[in-house]
Amino acid sequence: MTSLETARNEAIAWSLSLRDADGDDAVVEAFLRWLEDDETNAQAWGEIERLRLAATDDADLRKQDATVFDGAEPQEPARKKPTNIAPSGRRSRRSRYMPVGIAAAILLLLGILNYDAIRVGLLADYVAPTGQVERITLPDGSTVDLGAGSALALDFTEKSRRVDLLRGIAFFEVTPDASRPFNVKSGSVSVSVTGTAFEVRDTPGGAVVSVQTGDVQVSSSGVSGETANLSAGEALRAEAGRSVRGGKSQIRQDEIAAWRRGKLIANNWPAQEVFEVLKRQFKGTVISGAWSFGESRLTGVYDLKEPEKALRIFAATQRLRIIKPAPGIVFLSPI
Amino acid sequence: MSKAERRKRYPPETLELYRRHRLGLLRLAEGIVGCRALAEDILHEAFVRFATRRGADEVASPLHYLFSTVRNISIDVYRRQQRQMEFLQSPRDASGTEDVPTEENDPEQSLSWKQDYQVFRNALAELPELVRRATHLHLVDQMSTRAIALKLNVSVGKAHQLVADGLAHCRARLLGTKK
Repeated sequence: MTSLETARNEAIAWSLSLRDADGDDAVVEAFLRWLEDDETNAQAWGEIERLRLAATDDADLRKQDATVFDGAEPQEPARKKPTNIAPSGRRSRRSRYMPVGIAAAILLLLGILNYDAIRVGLLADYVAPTGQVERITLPDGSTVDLGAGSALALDFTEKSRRVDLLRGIAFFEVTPDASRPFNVKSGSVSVSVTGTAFEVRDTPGGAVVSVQTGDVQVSSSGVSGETANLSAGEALRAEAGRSVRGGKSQIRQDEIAAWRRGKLIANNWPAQEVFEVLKRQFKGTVISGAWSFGESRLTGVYDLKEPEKALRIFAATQRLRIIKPAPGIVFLSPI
Repeated sequence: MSKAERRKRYPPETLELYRRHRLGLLRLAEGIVGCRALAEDILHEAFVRFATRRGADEVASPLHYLFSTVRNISIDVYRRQQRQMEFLQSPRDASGTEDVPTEENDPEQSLSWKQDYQVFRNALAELPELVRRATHLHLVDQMSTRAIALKLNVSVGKAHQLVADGLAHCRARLLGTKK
């Protein structure tokens, strides 16, 4: 019989291996064999599970659980809004710094009053503040890392799990549940999965989907009945009205959702899309004027922890310079 | 349901996979809910969900799917148990776990699951900065060792060691023993 000491050390190693294995069946198999081997191993693993539960048992979860129990029907947990996410409708702290009159005047002058922002504000269930990635646990236990300034709306029923990425970028780790398919919509592009990890980023024309583990199906409105299957390590740029077949590319695992680690890894991205990500990182208003960035494409790594520096580097590639007319406002102007 | 009927209804690979890992899965469930009979029920539920899932051949890692299903149901059951415990128990009656001393003795704190959370927070706070962050990233943010290494700007081996140290410390505190 294994000593408890040994079993405990091994349990810690398994906690790390299972996380790193990312759903690899061979590792799960080896782990289950280890549990079978010895009752002591099972005991040691129970302790790790208790620790994991303690760690994730935050105040919010307890509150939610209590509500469900009072309702006597422990079915679908009530939609959960983590307290650290800025609720939609309430603006982040930047509004305090922004003299409303000046801002409105500048926005009107430039003619970029953004109706999209209003639409997002009304529909969103979750909005991540600018400059900050937020981790959200959905009612089914799936998790979403929501990129800075990005917004999500949820529609969960007994039969389906629908998420609408209203704006920005998100990385999903979906809890498998074959009876309730998980569906992500981003503009005209739709992604369906049963259980997997993948990233969706909205683009002006549609969305880019990158898969870390498992498989997803991507379809695009305007092209009826066509779906593309994506597997781990593949990415697809989908656009409304264009076939989703073809346009697949390979993506390195560590490039997927690198923004979660504070890096933007752009591999031949249109400049406009790099700008969208950097803009949401910046605590303040970034005004790019009415011109488009044209067709130029960028490849590079940007440090999202230093958004202003990243913006400067980006501006330099576009022959633009940065002007700061007021605190919290950045204006990109041709050199 | 007889064995023959079951075989007819479920695909043989599914049944085989389940049978091969039954004991391991049972111990996983038992480790979380702390009761063999309940673990059996969980396994049954997980198997039905697994075998009747739609698009049966689309799952790339069937064993991982089965494993996650067992684990998720177990956690649901565990949390439900804790809620019932909170509802039924008088505050004095600690729920079968060792009495872990907490700073304040209010009734809220005397329940094991709230205690667990508090003890974990306290244990985490005792750790050196780097160990604490690595442990938090592993347990709460559920990041891979590689991602933790990148985030903390250390080697993967070092990240592994940091998490292992942190887990050992927090576990010792949770079990109420000195490390």
